[in-house]
Amino acid sequence: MIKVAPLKLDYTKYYRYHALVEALENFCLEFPKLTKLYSLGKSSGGRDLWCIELTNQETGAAECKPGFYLDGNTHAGEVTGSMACLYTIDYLLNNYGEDQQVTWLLNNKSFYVIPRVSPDGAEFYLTTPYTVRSSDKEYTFPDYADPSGLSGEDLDGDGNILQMRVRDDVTGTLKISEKDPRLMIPRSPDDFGGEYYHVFTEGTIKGYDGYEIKMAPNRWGLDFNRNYPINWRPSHVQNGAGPRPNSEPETAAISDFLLRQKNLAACLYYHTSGGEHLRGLCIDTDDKMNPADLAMYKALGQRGTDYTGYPVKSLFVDYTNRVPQWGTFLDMTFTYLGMFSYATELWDLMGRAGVKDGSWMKISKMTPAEQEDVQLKLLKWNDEVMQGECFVAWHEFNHPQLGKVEIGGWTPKFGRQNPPAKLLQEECHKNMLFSLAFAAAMPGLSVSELKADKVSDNVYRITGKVENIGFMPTSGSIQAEANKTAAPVKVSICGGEVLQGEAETEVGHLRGYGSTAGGYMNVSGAGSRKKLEWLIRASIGDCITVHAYAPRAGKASASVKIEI
Amino acid sequence: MKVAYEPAKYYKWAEIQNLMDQWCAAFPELVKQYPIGKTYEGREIICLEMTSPKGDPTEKPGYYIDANFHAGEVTGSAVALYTTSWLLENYGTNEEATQILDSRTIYMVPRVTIDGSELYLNTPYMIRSSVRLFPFTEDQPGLHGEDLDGDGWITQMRVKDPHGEYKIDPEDSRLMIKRLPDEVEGDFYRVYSEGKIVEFDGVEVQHARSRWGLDVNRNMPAFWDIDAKQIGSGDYALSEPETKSVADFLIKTKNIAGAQSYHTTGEVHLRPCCTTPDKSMNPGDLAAYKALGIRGVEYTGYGHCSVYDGYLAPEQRNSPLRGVYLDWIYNHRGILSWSTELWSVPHAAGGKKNDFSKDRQPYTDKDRESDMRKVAKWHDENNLDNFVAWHEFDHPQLGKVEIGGWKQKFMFQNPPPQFLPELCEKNMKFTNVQIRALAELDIRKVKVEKKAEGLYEITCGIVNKGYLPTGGSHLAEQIKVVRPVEVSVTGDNLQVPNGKCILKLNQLKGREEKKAQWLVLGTAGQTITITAKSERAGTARHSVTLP
Repeated sequence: MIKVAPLKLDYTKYYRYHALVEALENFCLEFPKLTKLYSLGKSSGGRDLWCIELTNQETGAAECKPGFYLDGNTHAGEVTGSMACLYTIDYLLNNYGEDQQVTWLLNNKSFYVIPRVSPDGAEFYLTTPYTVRSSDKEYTFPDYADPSGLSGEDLDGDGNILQMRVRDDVTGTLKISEKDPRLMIPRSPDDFGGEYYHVFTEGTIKGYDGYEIKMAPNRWGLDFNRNYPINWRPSHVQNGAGPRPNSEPETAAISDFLLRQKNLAACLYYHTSGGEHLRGLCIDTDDKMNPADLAMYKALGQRGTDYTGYPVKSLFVDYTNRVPQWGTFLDMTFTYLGMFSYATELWDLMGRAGVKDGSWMKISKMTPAEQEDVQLKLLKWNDEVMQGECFVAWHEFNHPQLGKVEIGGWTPKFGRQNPPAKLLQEECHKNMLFSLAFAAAMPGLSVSELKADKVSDNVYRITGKVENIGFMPTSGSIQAEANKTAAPVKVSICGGEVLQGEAETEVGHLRGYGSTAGGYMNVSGAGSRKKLEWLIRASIGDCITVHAYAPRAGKASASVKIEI
Repeated sequence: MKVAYEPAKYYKWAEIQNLMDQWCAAFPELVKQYPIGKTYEGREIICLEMTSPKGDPTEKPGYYIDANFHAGEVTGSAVALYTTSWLLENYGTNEEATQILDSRTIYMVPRVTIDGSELYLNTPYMIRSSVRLFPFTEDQPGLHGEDLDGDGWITQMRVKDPHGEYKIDPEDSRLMIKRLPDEVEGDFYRVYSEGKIVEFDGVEVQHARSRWGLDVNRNMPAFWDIDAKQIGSGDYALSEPETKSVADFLIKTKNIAGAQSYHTTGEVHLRPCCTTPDKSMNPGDLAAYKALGIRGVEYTGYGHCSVYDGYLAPEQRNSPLRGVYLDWIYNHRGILSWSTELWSVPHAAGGKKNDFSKDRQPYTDKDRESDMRKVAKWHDENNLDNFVAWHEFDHPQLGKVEIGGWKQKFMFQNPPPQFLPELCEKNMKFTNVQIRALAELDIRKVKVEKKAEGLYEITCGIVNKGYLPTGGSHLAEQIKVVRPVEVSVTGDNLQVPNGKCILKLNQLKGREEKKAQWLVLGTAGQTITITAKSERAGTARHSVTLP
């Protein structure tokens, strides 16, 4: 168990925007040599998208080191992500100088943490009963859609939009479970003569004709995580995609940041829920990925599983069952920019309730009896661990349009979508451990074994070696090399007049020690080191320095003094 | 035993030649030997033809067995020799051996890449197949495996390096395990094959391609492609004398109906195809393969699957294996064949088993490390001497290194010899099932009816007693590599008024019966003979007297 220095923030609650900003500002005040805070742009509602940059500025500027990108809360309701980001910042800053791994990380790498990508939506989520996907900006597709239909409203004023069940013995599709009166289960094709219900979202129906109930189009129909410009498709193909790629100031700001911040090398972002580490690809099967990349991707994800217990899944193959997801952030960061990226779905409610594989893919293949069993396990968890708080008992209500209904159901926000506040810290801690292990695997350069051998008067042969000492390649991935999104390693020599060789030269990309991951055949160290050689004119006393640099692998240098 | 033969031994070529000579001398009625071609270095590739004197060898369904297509996979030769010995020694006393040699002709090629196997068995080198230098005659830059310390083995060398990928396993200090992605500090090593580096610049170490770059099991004509697309495939399909010899033999020996090839490692019975999935295979052949493969599970405990669907990892299916013998013999010749990968030391040690299904879980680094610990324990429990302890060595290029590691040949690539007898016996049993499943023609329910004076109606059932179709496979008939089944009736001065003495039938499915009928003019009391002839399902004859 790692000794944890006392953390500064309260992790038994979810922070609203002002509290989040205040926390970030306080971190900067307390650790001025380790932090820098700046805004990447403004949201639709005018809130800043804050990014905090962490590194030990005394060992080098942040942009000269491999950068680890961490964000949370792209989806408005997934506020656990913000807290997990704050936790990571808190942990890193307070353990710098105390913990060997943290100290090494902040000395040699940079972190760019954006705790809240959807500040408007999150605020709306935390202060009203409503749930939105990303922004609270109104956007309906198609924009000519008839707005009539049922929308969620907190009718009984209890602060939650739950469900309402309406009795209809003829057309009802659900019935009350015999095992637990809270649970509604499907009515079988051959079920007749019983008590049947419809279950809707708690709300009112615009333009109700007294007979038909349909859902109104989503008022807040944007999904930031389908608005990115790589493999983007319009809204009739991809729900939530928005009118055009990067149409939203939030996604445009993040995209621009990714494109200009050249030292970013690996990414981790937080979503909820489910308890999974999701990797690329988003619209293709694994055989479309370079096999060496795939092996490395899995080796990195394994560290996630080691710390969190969450399985690693391919978004396309294992998570969406081969339904392509267009315009995602993952396609931007991995498929295009070639940075190994994991989208962690925090909060494994199913696992905690004792359901071994609670993914919807698995559940959709279960029999009705097995699905009922899963629901009962969730209710049992609610009763035993949460004193029943996450489920509001069905209670009668007089609906202005539908008459006698019953309102009840799972509280959507803190129970299902996010962990209840008392279980938040545990979730943050184990995921923070993965993020540090992931960041430690980024590439790194070293220049060594520099020697000066006299060839003749004032002519010397300089030899040495440049090496990638990290796990990942200096490009971030072979994908990045194929897409030309990572500049190769440049080596330069100064201090003498170059007679043979180049004063500045590109040596290409260097593999890391992870290139043997997963048995992918590669001889130990192959491609990770290059010999350097020049003939120079210099005098005794001159200091010859060799520099190596690649945006994603940082800087390194070594010097040798001419002595004879 | 008439011929002294040791099952728990790896035989060199001269010793195999000696054995074959002894068998031919001791069992002249049951076996003969002849060359089917020559190797690159001019050695004769020998085939042992085994069958009993009952019937003509070319008129019986034939089964072809070869071993050691890959030079190092000498276990295959052991199975071939074991099977030969068992059949010959047990003919006449064992029901199965007798039935096989009476009703089948076995063509046994105990070693295909003789040159390579000699190198493998007599020197420290590992080699894939042929000794012909390919693609280049000079050694390429990079690390080549060499026995530097002269202990007779090419093992490994480890070099201390703060940026290395490996560390010493805390559970077993013989083993090297991978360093974790976030292990930034520790005692790390580079681990290389024991060897020397051609054109070393002082810094970079890369594997050189072996000077023996051929893989004759990519040199066959089916889906053949150039070396750049399929490593080791040679200059053109059948460019190598070994493969040409085997291919020509299989084509001209028309009664060969089924085949078995022995390889190592992995413990799986592999079937076609190597480049396309099961769903595009002839469904009748696929069903037969699956039914026969299950018998493998019973006898050998090995899995069975197609190379493409079950053996290649999902990411390998983009560039599947081309020019493979298994694909050629099935897709071009319509002969159902198995390539059995014998022996798996991780399995023997109780390690993770591959289920050879399409969606199997990948074999991770963690799996490998866990299995290697089990292998090390198994090695110790069996009192083997297959680990060279790490010892210091002054490398001419790398300076101070340590040499050590497993002796690969008779531990990983092949079993320690004491494990051979059990392995040979169970694989022979599986192959015997395949041999007995071959199609075999017979004639039954013969009826002769006198229609008028001197005019007779002859009716009979032409039956396939075997499980497989008479063409060897359903595909064989589709691609027209087998002649139709010919049924005829003959006798002195026998006349067939409608001229159709020889009836040509389509191939019979397994256990299928078809009717054949003639109207003939003959003499009472005369004996006539019905003959049912097929290339791959043998020839049956039945004589009957005209009333």
